[in-house]
Amino acid sequence: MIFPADDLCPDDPRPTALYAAAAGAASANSWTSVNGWSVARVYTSLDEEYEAAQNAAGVVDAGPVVRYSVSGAGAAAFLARATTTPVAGLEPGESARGLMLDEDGMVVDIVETTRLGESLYLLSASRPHARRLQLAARGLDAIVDDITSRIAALALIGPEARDVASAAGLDASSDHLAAQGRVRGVETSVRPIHFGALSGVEIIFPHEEALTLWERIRRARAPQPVGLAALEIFRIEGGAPRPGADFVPADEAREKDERRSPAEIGLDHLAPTNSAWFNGRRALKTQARPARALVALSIDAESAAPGAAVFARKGPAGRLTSAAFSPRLKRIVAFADLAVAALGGPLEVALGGGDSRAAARVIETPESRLAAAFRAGAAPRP
Amino acid sequence: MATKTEETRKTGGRIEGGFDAIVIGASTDGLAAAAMLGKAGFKTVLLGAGGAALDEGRREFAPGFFALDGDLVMGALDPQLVEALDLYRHGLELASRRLETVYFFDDGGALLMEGDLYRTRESVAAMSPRDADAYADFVETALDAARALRPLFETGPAPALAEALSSESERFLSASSEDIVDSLFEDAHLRALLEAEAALRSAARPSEAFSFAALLRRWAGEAAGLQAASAYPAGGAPGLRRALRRAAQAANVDFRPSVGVARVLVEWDGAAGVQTDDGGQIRAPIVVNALSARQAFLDLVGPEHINIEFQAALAAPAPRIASARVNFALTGAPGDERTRANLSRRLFFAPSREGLRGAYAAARRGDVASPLVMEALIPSVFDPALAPKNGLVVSAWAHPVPFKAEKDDALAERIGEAARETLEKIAPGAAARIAAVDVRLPADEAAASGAPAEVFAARSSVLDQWARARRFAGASGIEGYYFCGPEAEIGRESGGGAGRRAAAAAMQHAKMRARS
Repeated sequence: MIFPADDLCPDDPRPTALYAAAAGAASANSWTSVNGWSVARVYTSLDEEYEAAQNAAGVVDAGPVVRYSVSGAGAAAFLARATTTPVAGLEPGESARGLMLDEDGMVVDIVETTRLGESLYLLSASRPHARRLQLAARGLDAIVDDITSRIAALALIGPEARDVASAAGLDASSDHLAAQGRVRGVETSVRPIHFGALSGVEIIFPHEEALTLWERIRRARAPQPVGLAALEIFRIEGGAPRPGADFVPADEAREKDERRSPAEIGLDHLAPTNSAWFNGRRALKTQARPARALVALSIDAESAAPGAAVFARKGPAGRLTSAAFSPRLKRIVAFADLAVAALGGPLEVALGGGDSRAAARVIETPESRLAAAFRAGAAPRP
Repeated sequence: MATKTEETRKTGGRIEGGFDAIVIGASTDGLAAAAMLGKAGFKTVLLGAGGAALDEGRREFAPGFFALDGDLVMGALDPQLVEALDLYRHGLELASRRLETVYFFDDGGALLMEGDLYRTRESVAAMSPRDADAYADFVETALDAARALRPLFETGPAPALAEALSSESERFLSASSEDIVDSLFEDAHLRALLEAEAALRSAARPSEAFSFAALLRRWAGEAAGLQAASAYPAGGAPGLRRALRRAAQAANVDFRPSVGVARVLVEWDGAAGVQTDDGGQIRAPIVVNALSARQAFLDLVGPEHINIEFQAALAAPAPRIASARVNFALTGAPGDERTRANLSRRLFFAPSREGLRGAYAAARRGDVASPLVMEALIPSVFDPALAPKNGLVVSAWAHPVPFKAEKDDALAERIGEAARETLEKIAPGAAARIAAVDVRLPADEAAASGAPAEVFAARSSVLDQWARARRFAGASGIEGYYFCGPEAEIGRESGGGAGRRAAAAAMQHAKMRARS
């Protein structure tokens, strides 16, 4: 599952479908705006939320994730063009992750595609892409519809997430297929997801029925609502970069060198150049070796802020792009955009003001393991 | 002359290989690309989809009167192409190597200009002694600037230009025609003349930035070895195509005019050949497309193989301005000596500034003003077979007129009327001898060639054309696919340069492939 970055300048955010329920649960009253939607940063306390999702189950308001329904005979061709998702191999019910690239092969967004029916797909993105998708659909028999404000979406994450869903009467039996069903007359679509290292399910249902379903889940097992702050820790631990925070989406870059290729953000396994064609693939094939690398770090410190300088033996190597304290690792986990040349040697991160520095090391994440396996397989045999 | 290679051969559902290159479209650029590739030893096949109709040569528009379609005068024939293909040996002939131009003005004045711009000082001195020196200086600077800007007009990269641009040539490139002439000349005739020359067949109004660059583009060209001159090839534009065709035949290019292309095959990010209308395939690692950009990329390659941003660039704002090709059938011999002397010259009507502004304003709102800018030539003087005895064919470009994608007889009639009034300004009394008027608008050209009408609209600003031409030359990154359609050429004439460049890029690509 993807989760977008919060807006820098929230301007009168709209309430999500689940806002009333979320507001009732948010005793900490710490809010932010994501894609213009109100989202709780913390509901009760960060530790409680992290603990619950790590060991039991948490519920997340996934309303700010941008959703497009794609239908028509050319839907698969459209998605194959606009994203790197392997659409052709998707059976009904299956989901796959992918990237959205610009024509130079630079990353615009990280997306997920779910095949709901024969020629009906759900495209989830971390930010809106109305114009790009409208252009991409030209000349293809595909209808793209932004359904974000017409649906409610919540996610259950944690080891007990599927039990909670079953207890609420939802069909969460499959670990790889989405299931459509009805719960008390409410039409729902349930699909298995992974958020960082956590697994879970995502449930999409009509906007009007938002509170009915939330209430039903709450009565079944009362999972802990989890806010954006705790999600951020899981995300970094899982090695999932976030557009807008860890890299500048190619659509929004003011300078060409701000843009990042899939390899530079460690997601080249999501854009393999040896299968179907997608937007930007030809440029990707001829791209030079990456000079930057986005890596996950663990830092021996209790606090560090995005933007902090990272030093290698020879001098400055890059900056932190996002950071959070991991209660599990008892350290800061962070993403850093570093020069490739600096990798392999010892690293230090500047802390606060003054000259104090803390040791840091590159850590493996589920995502980086996938990338490493991909590179090992894709590399030419000696 | 039907040679063996010109026989109609269909693939009939078969897959045919053994070719090194396929060229689609028998336009000037398509023929140029095919001939260049053939000459370099590439086994090349030229498929005649589109453009074939334009090759028929002459068209009878009134009993006994024939018009030659295509460009009127040649001022930007690619010199490297002529040399590489040895076109003079293949029958390219210049009926007039250096056309003199007679400018006619709104107030009845007229000015004869030498065919060599460097020698026009005396002509200007006769009209406006005070401007003569300024004009001579201006011509020299402008010709230098035009020469320096050649890389740009040949769709070269922008960084290569930086050093070529002195502050003066930079101003010539970016300023409007009105600004340039106002800052240099006092004489209203001289101003009108330059503004009208820059405006002819351009959609940019003389008050718009970058409008003067259209004239620089023309002056960057060469005819018969002289910069900024105008020549007239024997047989007009079809005469040039005939020479190219012969050069291609001599280079063993396989001509298949009746084979239509349904699709360009893209496999593994590279062009792999074409699928023909009858379901067969012709395979080759190089495909050069001389059709319009929309046909070349959207229709033949398809959105599932081109980048989204590239497709967005294919959509240009709908054009509003066009030029009309008007052919007059004149009966009876011209009376006076002066008119007879003008018959073998390029005749140009330059309206006043107000007249030109009004004409653009009218065209933009869908109306036709009179008089219009007019460039006229009398091809029947060079080729008497085009008109009956004691008759003349006058071919002209009338500009600006409204652009209409569909055929519109009422509009054509209004344009014919305005053109007739303008012709009367060039040759008083001629209107009375007009036996027939033939107006060709973009919609007619589109119907004859199969290309979209937008291709035949007036050209947008040079900067815009350059940006588009460069983008299309990249072919969205499809390896081995090269584009030399009308959008690949900057300026109002098609001189085969785009075809030569596409062929050169294809050869370079083949060389790299062979090396790896």
